[in-house]
Amino acid sequence: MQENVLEIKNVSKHFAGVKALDDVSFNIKKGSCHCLVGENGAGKSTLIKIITGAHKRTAGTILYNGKEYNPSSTKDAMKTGIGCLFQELNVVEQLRVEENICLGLEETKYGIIQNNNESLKKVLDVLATLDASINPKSYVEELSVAKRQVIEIAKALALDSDIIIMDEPTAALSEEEVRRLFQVVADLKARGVTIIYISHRLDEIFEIGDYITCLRDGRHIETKPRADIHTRQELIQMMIGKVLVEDYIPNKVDYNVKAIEAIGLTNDKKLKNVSFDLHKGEILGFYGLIGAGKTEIANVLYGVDEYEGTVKINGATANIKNPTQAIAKGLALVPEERRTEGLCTMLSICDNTPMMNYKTVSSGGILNAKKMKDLADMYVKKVVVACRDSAQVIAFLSGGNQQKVVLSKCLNSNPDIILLDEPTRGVDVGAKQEIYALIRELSEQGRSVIVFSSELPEILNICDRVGLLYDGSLQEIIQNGDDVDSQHIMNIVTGGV
Amino acid sequence: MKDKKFSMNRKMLQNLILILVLIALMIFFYIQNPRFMALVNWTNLAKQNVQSIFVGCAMALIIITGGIDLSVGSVMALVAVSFVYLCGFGINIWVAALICLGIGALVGILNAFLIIKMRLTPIIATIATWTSISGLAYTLCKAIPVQADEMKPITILNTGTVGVIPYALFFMIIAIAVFMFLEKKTVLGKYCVAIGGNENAAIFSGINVDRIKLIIYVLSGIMAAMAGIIATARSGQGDPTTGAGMETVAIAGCVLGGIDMKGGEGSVFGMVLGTVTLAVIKNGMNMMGVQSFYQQVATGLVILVAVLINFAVSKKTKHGKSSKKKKAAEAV
Repeated sequence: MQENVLEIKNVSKHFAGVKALDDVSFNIKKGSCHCLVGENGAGKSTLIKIITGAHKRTAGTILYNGKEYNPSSTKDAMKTGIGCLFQELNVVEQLRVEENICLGLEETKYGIIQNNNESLKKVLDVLATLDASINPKSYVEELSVAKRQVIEIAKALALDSDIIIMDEPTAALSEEEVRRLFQVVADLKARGVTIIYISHRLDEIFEIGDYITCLRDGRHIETKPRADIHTRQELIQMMIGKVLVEDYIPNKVDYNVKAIEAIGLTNDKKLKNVSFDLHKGEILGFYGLIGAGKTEIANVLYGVDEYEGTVKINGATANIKNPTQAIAKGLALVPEERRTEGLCTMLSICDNTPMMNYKTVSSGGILNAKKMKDLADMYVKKVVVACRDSAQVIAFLSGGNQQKVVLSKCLNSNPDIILLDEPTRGVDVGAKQEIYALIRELSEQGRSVIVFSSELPEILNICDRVGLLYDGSLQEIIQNGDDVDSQHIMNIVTGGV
Repeated sequence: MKDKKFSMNRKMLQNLILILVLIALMIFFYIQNPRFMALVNWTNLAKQNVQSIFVGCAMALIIITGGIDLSVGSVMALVAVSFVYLCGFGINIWVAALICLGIGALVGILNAFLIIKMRLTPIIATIATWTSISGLAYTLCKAIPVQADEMKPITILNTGTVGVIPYALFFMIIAIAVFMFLEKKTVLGKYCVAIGGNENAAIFSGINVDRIKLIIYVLSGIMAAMAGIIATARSGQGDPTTGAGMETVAIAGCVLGGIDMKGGEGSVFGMVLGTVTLAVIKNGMNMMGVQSFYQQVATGLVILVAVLINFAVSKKTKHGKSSKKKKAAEAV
C-alpha cells in the first residue's frame, strides 16, 4: 500500500457561525491523483484554502508526510512543498518564461544574477519535459492560458513541491490543451508528485482520478478509489444526495407572448449558439456549474458583453450595446457580485436605491432629498430590509439585506424583464425565502424573470422552465414539475449525454 | 520560434520607433537651423539634461514597480540650499556633497516608510514629502538663493571637460550604465518588473517586496540629491527653486520611453530615449525661435502621439486571446 502524503483529520472551519467544513477526515496517497468533487458550496474551496494556508482551520489536524502541518501563509505552504495552480494565475506577464520560473529562486553573487548555473538548467529540463514547445526565452504575455499553467507547474516543481493542487485547471482550456495537461498530470504522478484535482467536469475526473473524495454541505461523504465507482450516476448521487424540492407552484405564464426571443447567441467569452424564449410572466431558470456560461448570458442580454446572434424584445430586434440601453428597453439585472457590481457599499440605502432611475427622485436634473428618502423608505418597507433606517450605509447590512437593496434598485427602474444572477448567494435561509416570494410576486405582476443559479433546489423551487448549461452551450430546456429528474439534470450539466 | 520573434520585435519596435522619431527630429531641426548640430549646442544639451537623466534613471525603476516619486524636485532644492550652507560652514565640499546624498537617502527612506508601513499610495505619500521638503528648502534660505565662495570648486562638475567633451556627458553615461546594469543583470531589476507586473506573484515567489521598494525609493532620493549638487554646480548658488518641475520632466521621459504607469512594462533605455527626445524638441524649438508657450503645446502633442503609437504596438503583439479568456475566467 502506498503511504499517505496528507492525512486530514477532523478538520472544521467556521465562518461567523456558518460551518463551511464540518469534521472532514480523509487521506491522500502519495503519487496519486486525488479528485475533489461536490456541488458549489460543498466546501472544496475552503478545504483547499486551508491546505494552502490561505485560511486557518477552526479545528482538526493535518499531517503532511506524517508531520503536523500548519502553514501560516500560502508562501509558507509553497515552501514546504504544497504548490497550487490558482484559478487566477500567478505569473508575471512581462517577464520571460525562465525568469518567471526562477523568480525568487535566482542564484546571485552580490545581487547580480548568475546565468548558466546548474539549477537554471535543471528547471529548464523540467520545463522541457512538461512542454517542449515553450521557449524559455519568450515572454509570458504571449503565451496561452494553458502554457501559463504549465509554467506554474514548472515553478512548483522548481520549488520541489510534492503536492500540486489544481483548482478547475481546465476551465479556460481547449480540448487539445486539456489532453496536454492530462499528459503532464500523468508525468507528474510518475515522478511521485501527488495531484489534488478539482473539477466540475466529471468525465475528466473519471479519466485521471485515482481516488475520489466527495464533499457535500461541508461534510465528507465518501472517499473511494475511482475503480470502485462504476457510473456517472453513482458519483452524481454522492454529490447531490437527496434534492429537497420545495413546493414549486406554477406561475401564470402567457406562452403566447414572448418577452425575449434569443437566437444563436455566441461570443468569445464562452457562449455557443444559445437560443431560448422567455414568455410573459414566466420565471425561466438557467442552471449550470461554475463556468457553464450563466453570467455570460446575463451580460449579453444586459449589453455588458458583445455577442453574435439576435435578441428580440417584445418581438422587435433589440440591439443593446450597453446597460443604459438595456434599462431603457425595460431590462434590469441583479448582478452576481452585489458588493462590486450591484451596490456602492460605502453609500447609504437612500443613495443606492434610485441609482438605476433618478427620474423618480429628481426634477430637471436636480435631486430631491426628500423624494430620495421617501423612495428608499418605501422600498425598505416593501421588500423588508432589516436596517436602522434608510440612511444606513450598505456595508453594514447583512448579505440578504444588501441583496434586497439591489432588488429595490432594479424595481425602481420599473422593468418588464428582470435578470437575477445568483440572487441568493451568501444569503441566509430566511432571507432566501423572502427573495423567492418577491420573485414570484414579480411574475404575478406579469413581469418576466430569468434566474441564473448554481443551486439546483433554488431553480426547482421557483422556475417554470429550466435551461441546462454546460460549457457555454444550452443543452436542453426542461419543464419544471413533480416529475422532474434531478439525476438527469446533474448528468447534463456535468457534461453527460 | 514564432513566439520569440514576436517578443523581440515588440520591445525593439517601441525603441526603434523612438529612435526613428529622434533622428527625424534632428534632421528637421538641422534643416531649420544648421547650428543645431554644432558641438557647442550638444555640449549645452548634455549639461542641461544630465539632471533629468539622473532623476529619470531611478524614476524608471520606480514606475516599473507601479510606483511614482514626485518628491525628486524638492530633494534637489533642499540639497542645493543645504549644500551651499554646509560649504559656508567650512565643511569640505566633498564631505558636504556626501552629507547631501545622505539627505536624499533620508527622504527616500521617509517615502518608503509612508508607502510600505503607512500603506499610503505612492502618489499621495510623495506629494506630501514633495510639499514639505520644498517648503523646508524655502524656509532654510528664507526664499533667497544662498551663496558661499567655499562652494566654488564644485562648479568643476559643470565646467570640466575631457578634451571637448563635458563631464556632464560622462556622468550621464555612467548613470545610465549603472541603472541598465541594475535593471538587466541584478535581481533588483527583475523584482521591480515582477512587482509591477503582478505583485501577488512576486509575494508568492518569496520576494521581499517591501525591501525592494525601500531600495528603489532610497536610490531615487540619492539620484535626486546628485542632480541637486550638479544643479548647484551649474547655477553657482543654493537656489530653492532648483528642480522645480523635475518630476514632470522625468515622468514624461519615462512615459514617452514606453514605461507603463501601471507598472511592469518598459526599460531604463526607453526612458533615456524619451528624455533625450524631449530635450531635443525643446532645444530645437528654441533654436528655431519658437515661443515657449507653443513649445509646451508641441511637447504635449509629441508625448500624446508617442504614447498612442506605443499602445497600438503593444496591443497588436500581445497574446490577445488569452487575456480575453482570462477575463472570462475571472468573470465566472
